[in-house]
Amino acid sequence: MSATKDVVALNDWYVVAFTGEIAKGHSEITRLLGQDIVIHRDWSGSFHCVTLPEKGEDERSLDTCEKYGFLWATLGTPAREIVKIPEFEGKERKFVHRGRIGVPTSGQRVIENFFDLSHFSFVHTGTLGGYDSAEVPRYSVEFREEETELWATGCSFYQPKASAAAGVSTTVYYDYRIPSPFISIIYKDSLVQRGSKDLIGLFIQPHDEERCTVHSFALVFDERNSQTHILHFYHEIFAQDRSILIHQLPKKLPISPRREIPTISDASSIAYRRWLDRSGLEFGVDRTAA
Amino acid sequence: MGHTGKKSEQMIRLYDYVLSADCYKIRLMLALLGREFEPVKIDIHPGRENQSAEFLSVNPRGRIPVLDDGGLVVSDPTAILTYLALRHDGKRTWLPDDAALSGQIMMWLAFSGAELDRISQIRTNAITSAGGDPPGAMADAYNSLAILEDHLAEAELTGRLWLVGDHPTIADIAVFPPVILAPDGEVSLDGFPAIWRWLDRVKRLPGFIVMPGIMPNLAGAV
Repeated sequence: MSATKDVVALNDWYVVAFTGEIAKGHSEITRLLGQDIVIHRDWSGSFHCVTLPEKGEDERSLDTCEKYGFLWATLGTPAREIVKIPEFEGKERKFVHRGRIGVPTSGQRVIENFFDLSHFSFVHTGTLGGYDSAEVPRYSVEFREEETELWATGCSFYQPKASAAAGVSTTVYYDYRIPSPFISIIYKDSLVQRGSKDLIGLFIQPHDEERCTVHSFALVFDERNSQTHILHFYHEIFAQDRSILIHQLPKKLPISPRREIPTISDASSIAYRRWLDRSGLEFGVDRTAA
Repeated sequence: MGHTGKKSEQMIRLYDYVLSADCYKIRLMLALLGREFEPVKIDIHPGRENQSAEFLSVNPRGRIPVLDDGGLVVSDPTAILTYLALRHDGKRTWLPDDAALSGQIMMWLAFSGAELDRISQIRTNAITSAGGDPPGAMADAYNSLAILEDHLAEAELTGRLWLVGDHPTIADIAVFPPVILAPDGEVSLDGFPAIWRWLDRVKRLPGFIVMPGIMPNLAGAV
């Protein structure tokens, strides 16, 4: 299988591994944007990424970068730097590597599900929502950083168990940041450190247009619960999402306005689809109108 | 904790991972028996804590679930289901005291531990993005489901609704999780109508609990 020809997709940075997942002296084969690549970690701990060439092709080195504990790579020439997340510099939050989760659908489907509020009550019943409190209060959608970032702000939801640290039902406020088509970060009220936000981020590695791996992290205020307790809470939530995502068709995200009948609560999803349309991205999107 | 109850009265502890189909067999059985338990959460993915020296001292096979019932440690889902039925089901309905029924129940427990475990492995590989299913794994999965489908369809013809005998047993509890979770690994249940009907019957058992990937029967709920 060979890489996509979509330059918008190629000219971006993607997480291809969590650095701690590959031991020194070991290699791993994975796929990015249709291109098989080999990640090698030498005995000094440095990472090297090359394409796994098909017959007649030459091996090619990829630019890589270690950031936020993850290994990033690009097949093209990104115009932008890797997304800035200043909260990684502070030490007050607990960092949780949530492990990679494979999902047989486009990365865009995963991102859209991540910032959708309407599904909480029905997919995450008893934790992030409940049947009796399914209404999505109004929120705002805006573009920042010269339209390179999409934000949904002032989101709120009544949640029976908003996080591993939550003891009682509460209304939780969220901001969603989508700084690239394949990255989303939640800034969510901390229930431990009032006035501060917990972060949950997804870095998606699109293998091909209908298959991806979700690398993710959390930066949370939580001294009480063990790393494993927090991890299992997240895995429970994500596996619920995954079991819904694998049934969504088409697997590529439809972005034509003629393919949707949105409601007010879908404002962020509609903004995401229009934003993807304007970006010129072809990879993982379905532009057909019917 | 300062608790000094007799060992036999201590809370059952289960070495557990929320996404493990094998652990769910035990959580489900305990729920159906009305027994509470205290989970000991193990970081299987990505931490591989099951390979740590500490965990290997609990189960040298490096696998969950492991049950600790007042100091008696039992590992392996088949062994734990059998133990729970003998130890905590006074009426002996889940594992009847009957040679013929027990023989058939053990056959389905073996089926769950072998053929259906390979379906669970497909699912685990898909969820953890590990890839690399052995050649023919998908075809084997559908052959295994066809065995179950045929058995259930034939049983229905004579009015039997469960895998063995005329009421649910640990055979149903061992087989249910890997089957209902198969779609997580892109193993489709679309062509198996008798399996669908049986899955729904299990979901209606008093005390039934779900896990991620399993929707409850919502009749009357919403």
